[in-house]
Amino acid sequence: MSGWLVIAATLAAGLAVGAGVAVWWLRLSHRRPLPVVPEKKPVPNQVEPSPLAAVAAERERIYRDLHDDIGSKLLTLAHSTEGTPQSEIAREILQDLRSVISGAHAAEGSLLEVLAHIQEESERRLETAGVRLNWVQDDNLPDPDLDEAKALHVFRIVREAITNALRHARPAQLRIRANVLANALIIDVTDDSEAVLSEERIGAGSGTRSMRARAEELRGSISWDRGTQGGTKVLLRVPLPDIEKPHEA
Amino acid sequence: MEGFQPVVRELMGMQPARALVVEDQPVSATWLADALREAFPAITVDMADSVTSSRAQIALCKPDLALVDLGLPDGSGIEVIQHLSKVAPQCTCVVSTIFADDRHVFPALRAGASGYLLKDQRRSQVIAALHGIAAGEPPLSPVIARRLLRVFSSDQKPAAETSRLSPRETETLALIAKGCKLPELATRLGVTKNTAAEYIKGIYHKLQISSRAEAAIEATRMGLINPHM
Repeated sequence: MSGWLVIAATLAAGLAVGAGVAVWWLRLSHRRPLPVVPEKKPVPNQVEPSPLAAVAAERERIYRDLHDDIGSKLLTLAHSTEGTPQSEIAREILQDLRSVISGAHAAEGSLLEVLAHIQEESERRLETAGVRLNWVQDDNLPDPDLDEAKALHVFRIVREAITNALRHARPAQLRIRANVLANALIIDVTDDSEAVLSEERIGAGSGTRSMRARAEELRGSISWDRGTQGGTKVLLRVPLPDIEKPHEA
Repeated sequence: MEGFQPVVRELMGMQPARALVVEDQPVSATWLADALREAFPAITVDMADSVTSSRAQIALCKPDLALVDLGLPDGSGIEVIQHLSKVAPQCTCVVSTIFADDRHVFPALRAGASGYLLKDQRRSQVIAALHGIAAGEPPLSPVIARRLLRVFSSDQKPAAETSRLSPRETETLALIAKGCKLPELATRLGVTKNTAAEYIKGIYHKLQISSRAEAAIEATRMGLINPHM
């Protein structure tokens, strides 16, 4: 089927570019300072024409290429195969492409901004898969700035937890809870499926391996358990930078 | 989603009668036109595939709803939205995009768009979004709300009274940022859905007139602080 060839080719191209961008981002994230909104003070002479400008311009170019070329081809594919399984696959690849890009941008800013990104992306992915998202987040979480590399790890771990839930279980609903306890970010991802918590689910898969590796890099911990109401619960704990005063209600 | 439509119907003041799809990919243009016809059975849909041809179509067809792609062969959809806001202010402009982040959405809102549509969603989702937009329900996104809070909280100019958020608007954004959808938002604010929607439109409008917002968008788009700002 030529349709499948197109999908396979597009997928390969998309993943190759995506992986390249992801690696590039991870490397970048160690060098780039957090973007801050400019102060009013005019200090033009203190800022020399920085290589950051060139990096940002290059990033924009890649971003635009991904959007214009791969994005619009995938969209055409999704629309021209409407009503077939191919259409769903094209949509999923497009979601993945978006995650690579927005995942990179999600690594900007504070804890609450990163959580907002995770929530939005999770909701879109789950909506496409026909799964309801129950997002539970305390009203008064503190909002420390997050290191970009750290934020990206958290983003990817949650993303992988959702991928696994969709792959191994058939949940009707997925609950994600975000909380801060004892100066650590706690995120749990729990599905409501009947699927048994299997070795396959938590074992040696490359997805779970990379989740463990990321949790380790965060100096945090990750575990897989049976949810109290069935399903599988992935529990991530990540120490946060010292928070001086949490927001009050 | 089933329970959603009757509510929308009840809220809807009017159904759009004539829509313009500005989209250069023929397959997507057709797909969007079909979605529009399914959402609003009585609608007439016209097409344009460039900034130039959209101007001719706007003058000729007088659309009351426009779905505008941002990446057109001869320019940006932002130009189309600006043009529409000028010559057809009664027209509801919607950006149709595959990336609904602040880099795409803020400039479009500033140009006068009242919503955006993720065109890779399933047809049923796109139709629900179209119903919402026609009913005057602005799009809500946690990330965009969070970014807006940051943009406005950095606005310290005392003179810029009109571009500062009221406490109520700040509360609204904070709730959206936590993932509240319109019905829940209205309940938690203790107002009707219409009033909650008005708050959001007010905030979007302030984005249009806030010069600090403009600066912050530019900084965000470049991923760094512009030294010449």
